Amino acid sequence: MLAPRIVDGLIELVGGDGVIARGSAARVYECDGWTLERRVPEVVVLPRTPEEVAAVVRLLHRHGVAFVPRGAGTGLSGGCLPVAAPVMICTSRLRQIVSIDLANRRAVVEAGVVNLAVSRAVARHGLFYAPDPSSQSACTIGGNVAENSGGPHTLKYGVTTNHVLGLELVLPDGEVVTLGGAVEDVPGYDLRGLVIGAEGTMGLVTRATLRLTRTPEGVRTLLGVFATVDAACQAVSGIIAAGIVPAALEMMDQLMIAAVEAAFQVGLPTDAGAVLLIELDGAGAELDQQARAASDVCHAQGAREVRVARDEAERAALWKCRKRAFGAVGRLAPNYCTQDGVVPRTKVPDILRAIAGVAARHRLRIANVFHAGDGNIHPILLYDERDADEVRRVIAAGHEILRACVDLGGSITGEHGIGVEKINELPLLFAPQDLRAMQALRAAFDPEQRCNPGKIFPTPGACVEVTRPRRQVPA
Amino acid sequence: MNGDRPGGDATAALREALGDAVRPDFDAKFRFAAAGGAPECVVEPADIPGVVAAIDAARRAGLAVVPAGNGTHLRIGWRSRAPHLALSTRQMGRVLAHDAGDMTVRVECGATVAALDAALAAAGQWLPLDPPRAEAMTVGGLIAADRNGPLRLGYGGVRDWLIGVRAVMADGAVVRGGGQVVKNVAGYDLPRLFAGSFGTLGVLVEATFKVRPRAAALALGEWTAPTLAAALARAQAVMASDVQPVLLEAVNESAAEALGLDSGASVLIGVAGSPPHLDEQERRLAALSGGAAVRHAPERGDALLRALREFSQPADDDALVIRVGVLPTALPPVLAEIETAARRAGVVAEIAAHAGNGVAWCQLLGAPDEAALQGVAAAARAAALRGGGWAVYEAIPGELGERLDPWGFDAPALAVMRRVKAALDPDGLFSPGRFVGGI
Ligand SMILES: Cc1cc2nc3c(=O)[nH]c(=O)nc-3n(C[C@H](O)[C@H](O)[C@H](O)COP(=O)(O)OP(=O)(O)OC[C@H]3O[C@@H](n4cnc5c(N)ncnc54)[C@H](O)[C@@H]3O)c2cc1C
Repeated sequence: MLAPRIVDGLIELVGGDGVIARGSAARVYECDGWTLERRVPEVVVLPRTPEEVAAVVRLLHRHGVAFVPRGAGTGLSGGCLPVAAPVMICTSRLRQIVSIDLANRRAVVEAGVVNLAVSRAVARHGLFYAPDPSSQSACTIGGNVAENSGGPHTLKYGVTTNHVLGLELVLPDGEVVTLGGAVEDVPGYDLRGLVIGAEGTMGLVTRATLRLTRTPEGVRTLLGVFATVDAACQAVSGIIAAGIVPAALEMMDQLMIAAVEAAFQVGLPTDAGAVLLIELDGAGAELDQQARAASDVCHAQGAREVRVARDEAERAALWKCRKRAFGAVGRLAPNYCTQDGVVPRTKVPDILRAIAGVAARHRLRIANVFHAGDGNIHPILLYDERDADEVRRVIAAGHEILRACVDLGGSITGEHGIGVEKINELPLLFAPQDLRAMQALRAAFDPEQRCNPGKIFPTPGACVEVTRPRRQVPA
Repeated sequence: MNGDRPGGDATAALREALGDAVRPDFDAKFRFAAAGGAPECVVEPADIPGVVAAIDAARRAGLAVVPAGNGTHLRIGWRSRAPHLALSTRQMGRVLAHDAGDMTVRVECGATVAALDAALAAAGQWLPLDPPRAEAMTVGGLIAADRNGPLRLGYGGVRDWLIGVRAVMADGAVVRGGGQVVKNVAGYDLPRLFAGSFGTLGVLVEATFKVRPRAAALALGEWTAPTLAAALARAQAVMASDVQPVLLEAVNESAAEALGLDSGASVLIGVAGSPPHLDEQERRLAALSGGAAVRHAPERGDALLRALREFSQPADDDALVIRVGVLPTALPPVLAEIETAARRAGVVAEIAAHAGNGVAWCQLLGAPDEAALQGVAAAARAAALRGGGWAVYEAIPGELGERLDPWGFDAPALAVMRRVKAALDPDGLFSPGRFVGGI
């Protein structure tokens, strides 16, 4: 238990309404989007300013108390589970957009600002903040920085690290440092690049300087319908071979199409093997030419049909099938879980075949909806949690799929992070000396392991035993 | 070589350990002089085990290690604090895997940027970075010295394209970070840490990049202006307009002359894409400039692009080259101060700015004496700092090299950088003292 005088000290720093010390109010914070494991934090602190964050961290440092940072709690790998930390520091009251510099296309925001709020604030000036996780109406910039989040438009625009210029970081001892900044190429190591994607293990981000991007002049959205997944994959390759970099390339397989159609009647042919959603953006003349070329590629690969959105309403309708895909899964089975593996783009047919093999071997149904352009798969494993044997098979299948991704030259996570979920799988990807170097870097920021302990790196003897499948989450 | 100095008899011992990979000749030592400090010895291993062996041998000989490619940018930074071995990766130059469909390429770090480009071009792709001296610069140098060129406005820098690295660390461990896939958040982002680390963390041996379809064509427009300030204002107008430049260079009159432009100060506007796109951009630029901006013929445009790309290289042995970074809107006052200081001191200042990024290159030439040159360099740094930015001296002639801090960086984050260095290179084996704050 945290000593009462520490709690009193926290209240003194952030006010009585900024400290949740006991009771049901703290239950809200027991897990993030990965609900397999739950743990209620002893104390939740809600600072109002970056200065208060630093003061809170200094206080905890004096008393040797570990803490876990939390944004909106939409993370999908248990990153803000208070594994070995009694205190949770939540950024939900750090909501200020500090400044917007239109001429230089920069915005400085506090860590608790919601991703979509940034784009909303600058939309009328023809600008937006490019990284667009599907959770963007809820997740925070601090969480995005910690997870190096991407979105459907990653293929063309890149991920968080490509759009964050500077960070204000409260180190685990309470010292405040600025990494990078509004100005490009600040001399020295790119510590901002190191902290982005470090899953909150190097300190607590309080402010970020973001790069804003010009809103594309035009958008074209197409939906190709194919007899087989292989044909759709050939179309992806064909589009890229034609020298086109689409803004998004998203695919669904037959099981997924059937579920979406049953749930929403959007008019997809349920006997189709795959649909491919293609979005292109850019300027006038070139955009039309690329849309024609992409459509031609689809036809050349035997597309049964290529639908082209003629206006914003039709575009929204095409995206609706993709965005609602996870919502439709409930019709197929009582429970489901997903994975976040990545393979080189040309290996997508191989990983889909591997997944089909895994499904057959374990007598499971697996639906696929994924970022085809990035090779980032999200296989959805269907099951019934009342069937203990099926649950065991789902867990084994998930692990086999990640291993297959690694064997094909890929990764075990494209955007959801390691957190506590994939700690056991990290060594599939990295050798002991790689992990040693990473942990040495962690110690350079956090020698006492007080900031988000128990995440990312396997600790000898502390193997997390997964006994239930990953929770039902969209992505 | 003097036997009393540490490493003084290193060559013989290294030869015994490493054989023909050791280059004792004077040429090699000249080529790999780091900020004017010659190495005791040069080693050019043929493979990763060779790199590991060289590091081990250096340790045993009591020498530091300065990683190198072809030495095109070794002039940057302080001299090595300790007698050192130059470890060049230039014999390791294979393109290991280019799968066009994946839009990724894995390459050995000793490959030159030009060789990589040629391999990618064969499949209609490119790594859209346009550093100087591409025919000599190695991929390792590209990453470690974080080089790019005028196209950075449209395509970003090394950190935006690098997705994986392998490096040999101080303890001889071969460490991997990132991977082969374009989307990957497993483990810490070592590739970005290595970008711009100037040979202080380890020897880069392999790198993986995202690549892109090559732009169908690039066109260059020019809009002249009476002064650099006016050129920068025009650049700002382009940024605020519907023109979509991938390159936006504002040059002063002296730089224009050096680049072979006969028009005085100018802003150069580059656009990339298909022919109809280029035509459309040309129309927009014409509308914005009231017809004042003109499009160069392709051959002339290409020649200018090449000249712009090489502008950051020292114009002669006496040049002091400064790279300045500020917000794009802060360029006009900061660059004006530098021009004024140079004029007063009788120094020629050639200035070309990546106007959309806020990064400018200044070549200070023809100084009457060292004191005058030092004064202008100091004034430039002061102006940049006042403008909220920084200034790095990337080439410092003669004796001045021992007096001027190349980096001029001093911030609380420096303490964290020192800890990062100590975490990966606890004994200070790699490029000791050469980086910011004497790291
Ligand atoms: C429906 C849904 C869809 C999703 N879609 C996507 C998607 O398309 N792409 C994608 O990448 N992700 C997606 N996610 C995952 C998730 O939204 C992202 O990882 C997001 O960035 C997490 O932000 P958050 O504010 O909720 O962070 P949290 O969940 O609160 O925290 C995540 C991690 O960040 C750390 N952290 C939070 N704030 C800070 C801070 N200020 N300083 C330091 N560390 C901090 C925490 O300790 C934790 O480790 C989705 C999630 C859901 C529920």
